Amino acid sequence: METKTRYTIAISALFLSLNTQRKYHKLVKIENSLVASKLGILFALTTSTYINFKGESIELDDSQLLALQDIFVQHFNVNMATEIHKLAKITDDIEESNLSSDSNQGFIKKIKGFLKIRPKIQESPA
Amino acid sequence: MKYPKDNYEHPSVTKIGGHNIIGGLNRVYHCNFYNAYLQMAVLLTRGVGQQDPSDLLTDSVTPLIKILKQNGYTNLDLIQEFSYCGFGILEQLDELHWQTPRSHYGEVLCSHSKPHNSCYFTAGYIQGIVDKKIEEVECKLLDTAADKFIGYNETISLDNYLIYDFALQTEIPQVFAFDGCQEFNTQVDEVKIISELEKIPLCGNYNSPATGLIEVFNTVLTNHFADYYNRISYETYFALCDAGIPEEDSKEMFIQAGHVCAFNTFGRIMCSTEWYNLIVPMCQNKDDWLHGMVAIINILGWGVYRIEKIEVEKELIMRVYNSYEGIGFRRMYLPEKVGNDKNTSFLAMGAILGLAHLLWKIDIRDKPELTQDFYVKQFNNPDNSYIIEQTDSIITGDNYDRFIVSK
Repeated sequence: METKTRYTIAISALFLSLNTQRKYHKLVKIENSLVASKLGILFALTTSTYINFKGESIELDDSQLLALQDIFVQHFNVNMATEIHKLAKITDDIEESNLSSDSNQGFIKKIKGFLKIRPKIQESPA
Repeated sequence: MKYPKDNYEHPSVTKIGGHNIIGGLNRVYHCNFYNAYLQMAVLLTRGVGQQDPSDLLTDSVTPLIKILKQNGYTNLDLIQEFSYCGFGILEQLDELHWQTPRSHYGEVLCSHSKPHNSCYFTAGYIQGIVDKKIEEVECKLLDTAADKFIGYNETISLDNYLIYDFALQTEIPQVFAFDGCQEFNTQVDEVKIISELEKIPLCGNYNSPATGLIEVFNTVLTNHFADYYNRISYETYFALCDAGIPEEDSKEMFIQAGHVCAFNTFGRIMCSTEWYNLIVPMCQNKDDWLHGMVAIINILGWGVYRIEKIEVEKELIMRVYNSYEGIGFRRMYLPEKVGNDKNTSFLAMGAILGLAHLLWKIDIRDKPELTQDFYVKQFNNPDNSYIIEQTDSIITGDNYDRFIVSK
């Protein structure tokens, strides 16, 4: 069965690195919550896979790493290829069939959003 | 010919129910921070389904210009009003070529991505004037002398998207005069504040050198079309939902735009000379600062904001009658479009939350320097941050929008 190499990236380190790069290029810093929302949206639109960037870490495969690099270039105006490769730690190779788009569920949310989210209550049939 | 001319007569503004109507359309004051963040949010959807966000940003204003023309505007009126509303200076060079040597979207818009042609709104505005397809070919954000636009001999036909009648609420309670309102003890006089502020000309600068920009309170404002904001926001929000983006992320993009707007613009207002001359003498405490800022919000065309409750540094409850988002939504879509979801007045959510943060997360009375670094430092620290929930919504049939800020 085909396997894919998976990489784990710590979100706090990724965002810190992003703002370090932006500052180096004399661009303004961006707050973590906005970076997380933008990345969540852009990554899903680019790869058809939703990843929660508000957690502690993300897991990506090779093609997703490239997609992430491209998003940083297009939407954050910095090339993060080197930084991403430094930050990406190989996790266990897992079977492709186990790849899950919601692999970040269950992590404690580190980035506080603005919106009060109530759990959705399923309406009972009349 | 240079516009605006010295003898330009300002358009008449009808103030009704918290809306500022010019030429039959509600206008709302917004800053460059909001315009930048909102445009950025819309552009995220590039490549999603059939939607081209550049077209959305351009074409959403064109039907509004058509409405103004139907209401008697001449092309000269439109060119002059472009400056009056703070969009810059619009000049026609020949039949097919236009330029804006000064412009809001070409100069003061900030973005996280690489600088690119960003005057979509201006292109759409010109489209409405000439009824032809217009494209921006040069932008001052890319260090050119002017934003330049070229027209094509391609007639465009864009349908009016304001397709439903929805009347403004006429029974709006006076300040603190409604059931459920806390008893406040404040010397802040909203009527006096509004009366004094209306003496400040919030229109594009015509004095030499004319800029056509509204530069006040250390920020740059536009007197924009409420329906434009509504169209680009909700079309993008629905596109994101259709693409399967979780509601929380989609909404937060728009709420953050309002929050950044409040933090920077309300914050600068609350540090301004005008604020210290007019409002601070009425203030004894943080509650009063909230009341004072709400009075100012009520001249912006955003609807009528009424504070229902303040529990200092714990809870703020605000009602908004005739919120421009609620009214505008109902003129574009049926309420079923959002089901029973109340959390849909994104600008108001961000603005009210930002207002609470200005006093309860930081203390704007200390006059901190409102830089981007300061903003990032504050909001990368979750301590003492608040969240917001909308409990009532004009969109879903309630009489007003209502918001609760809490920890």
